Amino acid sequence: MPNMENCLFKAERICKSFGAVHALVDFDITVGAGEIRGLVGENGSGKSTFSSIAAGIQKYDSGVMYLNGEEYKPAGTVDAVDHGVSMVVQEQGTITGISVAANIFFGKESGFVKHGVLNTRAMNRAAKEALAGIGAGTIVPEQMTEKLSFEDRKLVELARALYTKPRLWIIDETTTALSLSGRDLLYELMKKVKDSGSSILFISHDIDEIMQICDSLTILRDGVLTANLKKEEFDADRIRQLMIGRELSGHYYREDIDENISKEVVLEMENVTAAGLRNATVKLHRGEVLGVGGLSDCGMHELGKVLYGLIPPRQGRVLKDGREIVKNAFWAVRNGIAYVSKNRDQESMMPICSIRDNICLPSLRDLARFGPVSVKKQKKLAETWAANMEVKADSISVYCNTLSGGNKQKVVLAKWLAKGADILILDCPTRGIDVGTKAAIYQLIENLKKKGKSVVLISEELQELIGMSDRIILLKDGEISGEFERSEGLSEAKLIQKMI
Amino acid sequence: MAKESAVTTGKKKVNIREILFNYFSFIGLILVLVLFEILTKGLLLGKRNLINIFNNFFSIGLCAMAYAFIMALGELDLSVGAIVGFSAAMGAFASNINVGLILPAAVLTGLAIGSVSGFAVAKLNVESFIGTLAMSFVVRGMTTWLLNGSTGIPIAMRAFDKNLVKILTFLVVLIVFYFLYEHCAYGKHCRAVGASAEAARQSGIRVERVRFLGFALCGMICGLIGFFTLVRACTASSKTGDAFEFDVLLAVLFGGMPLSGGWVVRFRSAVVGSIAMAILKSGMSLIGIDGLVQQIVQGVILIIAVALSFDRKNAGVIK
Repeated sequence: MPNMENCLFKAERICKSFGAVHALVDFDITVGAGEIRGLVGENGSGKSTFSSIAAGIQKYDSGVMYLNGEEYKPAGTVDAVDHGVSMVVQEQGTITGISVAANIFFGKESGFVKHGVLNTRAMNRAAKEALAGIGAGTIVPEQMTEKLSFEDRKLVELARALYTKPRLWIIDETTTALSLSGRDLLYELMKKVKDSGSSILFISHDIDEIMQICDSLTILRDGVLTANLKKEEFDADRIRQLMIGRELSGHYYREDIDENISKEVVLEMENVTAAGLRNATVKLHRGEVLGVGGLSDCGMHELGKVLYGLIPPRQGRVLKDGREIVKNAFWAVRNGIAYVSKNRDQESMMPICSIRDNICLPSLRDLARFGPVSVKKQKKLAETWAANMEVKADSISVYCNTLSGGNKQKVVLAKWLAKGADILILDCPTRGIDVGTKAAIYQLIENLKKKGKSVVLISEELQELIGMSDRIILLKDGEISGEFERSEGLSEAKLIQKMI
Repeated sequence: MAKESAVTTGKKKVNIREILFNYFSFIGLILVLVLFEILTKGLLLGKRNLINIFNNFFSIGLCAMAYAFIMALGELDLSVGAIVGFSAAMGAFASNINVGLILPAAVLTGLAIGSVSGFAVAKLNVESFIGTLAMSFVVRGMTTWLLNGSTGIPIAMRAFDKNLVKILTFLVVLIVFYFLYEHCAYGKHCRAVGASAEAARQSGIRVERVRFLGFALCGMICGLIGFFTLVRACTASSKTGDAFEFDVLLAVLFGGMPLSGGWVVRFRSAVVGSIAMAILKSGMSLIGIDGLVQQIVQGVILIIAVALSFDRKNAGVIK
């Protein structure tokens, strides 16, 4: 039995792998009673993996967890909640199609059942109390969840998590979805929970926020614990260094600020209204990295597909070089536009197909307009670009479904580099891939820019947009809600204001 | 789950499955060959019967080679028999004007009907199974209605029913289609569309056009088969090409083509499967199984072949 004095939650030597990727390696963490402990690390460092393990969403490979001195092994989220561990997730955590009250009491409806019939009125009453309890009394419990704004939905989640009076409350990067007033509300709630003697595990990559709120801090890097800091040891530069593990001068995102972007427009969208987009006008210049961001259903993914000709505009038009209309994907590829879908396995590659055939697919007609395509040429093209992108595989005949996410994405990018394109539309190119591949993709984007190619970078990660883009366009409910030039002082908070 | 466990099992096991998968069609062929060679007491591979087998193989094999493109697309064409019948009928009508028109009439008829099927599948998004089944009813109905019994052509046209002509025709189609399928952009596009239509579209492939051309190509070959069927019998009847679609489907499935389409569909399956199918048909006739029972046997084999090809589809995934 470990020393549990003044300790509410303790995890020891937690390991978790996804295939070949080690998300957590021998990770230890302790959360004291009445403590707000921060957990920070880069994307993909294992923060979310650990929080979902603690909340019973995922199983771990090995290790032990203790809660209140007893071994804690959640069988699932419901079991975790019964033990007093409740979590607010990073992604959307409410269920659409049911009312706010039903969301708050999801899985706990039995408390309102009398003679086999659900007493909806009692449930709505209780929901109203729960919402008022967190200072969100303006939300109507009877309302359908999808009618609420993104922020209100987050508040519903908070009400749900707090209704169970958790002993350990896990908050996973929730603040990025909240406006400033929403954040203040959350901070106040956290203080209340802390004063009541419960503990909080707070996950964020906003270092200022962490330093302000947390009592202590645990830092993760590539699944390994790098440091535990007390409040008096907090120092922004040191925290950053511990997170990234190298001097900050090292390359990850771009560092330059290019003020001489060409005025030449290579691809533009004129007042386009299409599925998911309303009256959007976007211009992409030569040599520019244009970031496109917003909340997940704001229309940014549709924007990429419209630019590539996959979704036809109902109104307006998409022009290449100010003259020709982008008709469809075939036309787009012929005219030097490339597109990488967010949905990798279904849309941007064929899993049950060799690396060679995946890479050669768009280039086949260039290799031979008529007649047979030389086997040698195909092999050479695929080998050259697979090597160039450092795809890790035994040979180019290997089927792509055996590759890791990062390697698959490298194959997808190799395919377009082999084809050669002047405009690349990348929809969440670093989604779900390891840090090393991410860095390689950022490097690639930078190199493409240097060669005068234009890139549309659609991303859900604000840091990525800020770090890579010359200009950022933000969307909200299908409309363009803001535009930012690249500058030193650009912060996530500024972007978020335009997103919500 | 099954996929993961198969990947993690020892390398040797995967190899055995892979070998089975790769050579299943040959194993099936050898089994059929040995079985009927014994049952017919050597008559099967006798000189006279070899010509018989070749005649069976000729039409099934021609069609199966075109069918490979349809299978790669992950589609089916159940109208091939009907197209053969209808093209033969149109060829017979054309002979009333000029015997030189028989071949172009038959081939163009096949191409036209194949194009209609292709249009329905590619542009109207009709499921190919349903679309071509409906098409076969329409075309058969038209054949019966137009022929009103049967129509003959001059007996001199028999001159085209020579083995040399057939062998040369087959070789030309074989070479052209082999390169088109294995080495040209079009064949690879077909497989890409079958593997993932959306990925293919996003790679700049005109998915609708690729699908349309597959059916048009298959229709055209059926027209050619219609011509050779006509010159062999010198008469076109509403029975011409009857149940031919099942012979072909059985041949490609027997040859190891998975119904799912994509990169696992191999061209050689068409040829190997057709030979096995021709031997099967000829062998059954030789040992005196009548037509009705033959259909029963074929139906059973079709089910077994599909069940096995499903398993082999997974084996393909492991690779």
